[in-house]
Amino acid sequence: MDDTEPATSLQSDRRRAEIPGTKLPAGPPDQFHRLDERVVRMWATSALINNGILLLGGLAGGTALWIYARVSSAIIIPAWLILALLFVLETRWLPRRRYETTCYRMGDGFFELRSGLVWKTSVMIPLSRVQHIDLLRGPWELHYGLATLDLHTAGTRKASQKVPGLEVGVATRIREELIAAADLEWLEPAREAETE
Amino acid sequence: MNSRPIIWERLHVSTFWLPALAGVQKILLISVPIAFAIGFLTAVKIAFWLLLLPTTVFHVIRFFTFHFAITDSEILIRDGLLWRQERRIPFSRVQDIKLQQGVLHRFLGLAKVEIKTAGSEEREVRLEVITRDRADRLKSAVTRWEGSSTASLPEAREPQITTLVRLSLSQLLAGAATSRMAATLVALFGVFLYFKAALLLGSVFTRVPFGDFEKYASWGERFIPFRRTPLEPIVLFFWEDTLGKSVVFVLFGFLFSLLAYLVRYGRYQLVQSGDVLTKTHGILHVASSSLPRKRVQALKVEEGVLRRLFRLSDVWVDSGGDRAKVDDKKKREPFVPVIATAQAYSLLREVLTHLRDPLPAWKAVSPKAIMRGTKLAWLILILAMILSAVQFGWLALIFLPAFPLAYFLNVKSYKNTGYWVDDHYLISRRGWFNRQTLYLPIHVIQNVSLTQSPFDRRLGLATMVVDTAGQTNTGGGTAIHNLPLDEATRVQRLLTLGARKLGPQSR
Repeated sequence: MDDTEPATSLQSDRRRAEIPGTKLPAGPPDQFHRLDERVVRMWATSALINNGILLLGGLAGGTALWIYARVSSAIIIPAWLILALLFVLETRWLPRRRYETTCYRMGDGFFELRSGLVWKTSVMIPLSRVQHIDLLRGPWELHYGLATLDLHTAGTRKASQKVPGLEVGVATRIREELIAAADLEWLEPAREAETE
Repeated sequence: MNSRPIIWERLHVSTFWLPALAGVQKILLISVPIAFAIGFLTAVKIAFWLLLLPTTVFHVIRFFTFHFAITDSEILIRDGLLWRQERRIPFSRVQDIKLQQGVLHRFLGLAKVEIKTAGSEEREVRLEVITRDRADRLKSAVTRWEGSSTASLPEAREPQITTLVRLSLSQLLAGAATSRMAATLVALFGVFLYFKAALLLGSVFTRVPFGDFEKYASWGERFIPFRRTPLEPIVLFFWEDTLGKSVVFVLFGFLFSLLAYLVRYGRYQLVQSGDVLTKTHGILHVASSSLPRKRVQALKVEEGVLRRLFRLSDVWVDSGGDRAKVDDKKKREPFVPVIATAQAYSLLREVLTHLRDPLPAWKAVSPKAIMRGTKLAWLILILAMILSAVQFGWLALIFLPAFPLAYFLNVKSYKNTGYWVDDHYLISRRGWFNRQTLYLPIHVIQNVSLTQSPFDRRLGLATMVVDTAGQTNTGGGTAIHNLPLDEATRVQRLLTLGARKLGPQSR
């Protein structure tokens, strides 16, 4: 387990400081959570099918070019190899890495989502700014018992933030918690303002 | 709340022909050169089938299917041809109300009204043609509502009317001469007139026999009497000719855009009455738009290259209604088209109520930003040098002075980059040539995100982006690059919790 690292260490190492995805800082109240592990298999399977079609198409196209258009094998074979490598990466390596680099937490008054493999991002949404939350389930998610949470704010460019691969029960619970908290947030500051 | 019966009204009858005519008026200036190029009859035909007929049909249908009613607290809209719908827009959700009057509108005492609401991109209300009287009443109803909602504040009880900005002719001229609109129009006008001939001939380098020149030359070409070479065969576009014509076109275009600027922003004034700011401008086409102060989502002071030289700047404001087309520059409209920079910063205190210091002690970003930007520029320069060395040999050394220049520019840009977080605002500044200072009330922040590219991670830096609801006029939310990661996470948390603490209701 690598999620025992305390929250401060990721900030002390200035030379290679990064928004953590792989190394999860632990401990309440701002505890980070991972996605459901089944999401790795789900991403792998959907990539297998989506990219499998692409790979087969590439193979067929390449063969046709080789035989009929007499394109040199010096081009065709490396192209095939690259295609195959991409296929292996997307089905074997990428889903696991994506799973490892995505995490979320419900902090005190905000929701934070961290994700990204190459470009790492961390988005913090104040709970009072959550407008509505969608729970989305595609065919694969239905099969694996997962769901995607879609948090909407009134913002412009990052108005919708998706948290994929949550177990349905967890997703529903988070949604209810967030909505309840957001509701409270709407009332609290108004009351404060009145007493001012 | 109000027991008065709802009176449904239609738009004014002139909606049959006025919008179509206004459309024609809008394209008139551009269409004159086009008409010269393709012939008047064709131009009229195209305008009729593509513009006049569809607009007229649309507005005739709209006249019979569109009804509106104004009550004490809301505006009701009932419209739709096949799918009828009724919308109610409470005045509390109105972000911005804008009155426009073209020449004909003014002559007939009519106006066009646009109402922007929060949380919708397209479904803003547009009343194409109503009487000026009705428009004024609607506007005052909304303004009154805004006033009554803040009645607890002592100064709001008696709305004081003060003029914040009024532009004199000399200010307008200075603004016109330094505006970007001038540059664009100059370029467009010149390029169009000049290269029409090139288009006909196929290429700038095409040679045509001398006798055929008149046949191929455009209206613009014939209009300007410059020397044409008598050589045979003739090179049509040789450089003295090109240079001479370009100068004439530039001057011509400049005057033209100067005029356009004066017509558009003439008689500009910004008036404050209670909590509502109203700007009115235009000589032929009058536009007046009202914005409650507390609806301001973002404010930007921009000092362009030319304007910095003359200590001028322009001010841009977004309300929550400005959500559409963030990257479409044509949709942007300045709050103050031109203003002395010192005056701009004192104006900020009037618009942003809680602002303590418009020019705080800036917090700098990481100094690694300098070498980072420089290295990137150097990489591009080296590539350019290699490529030109292959082609031109030693001539590639001409790029050498660009290396220290790139460093210098990055240092300058770094020195002009900074941010500041006070109790109510996030203030950020960037750019040297084109310096932009952005003020963001913390209570409007929707989310705060950090992003790290692979290079960012090597250097331990991050980019912070702050998202808000309205970004059309200011052109995107705050983005601060090259923040040290620990500082970035701290500021991210500070802003998120600040946004939460200051409450979702606008102040």
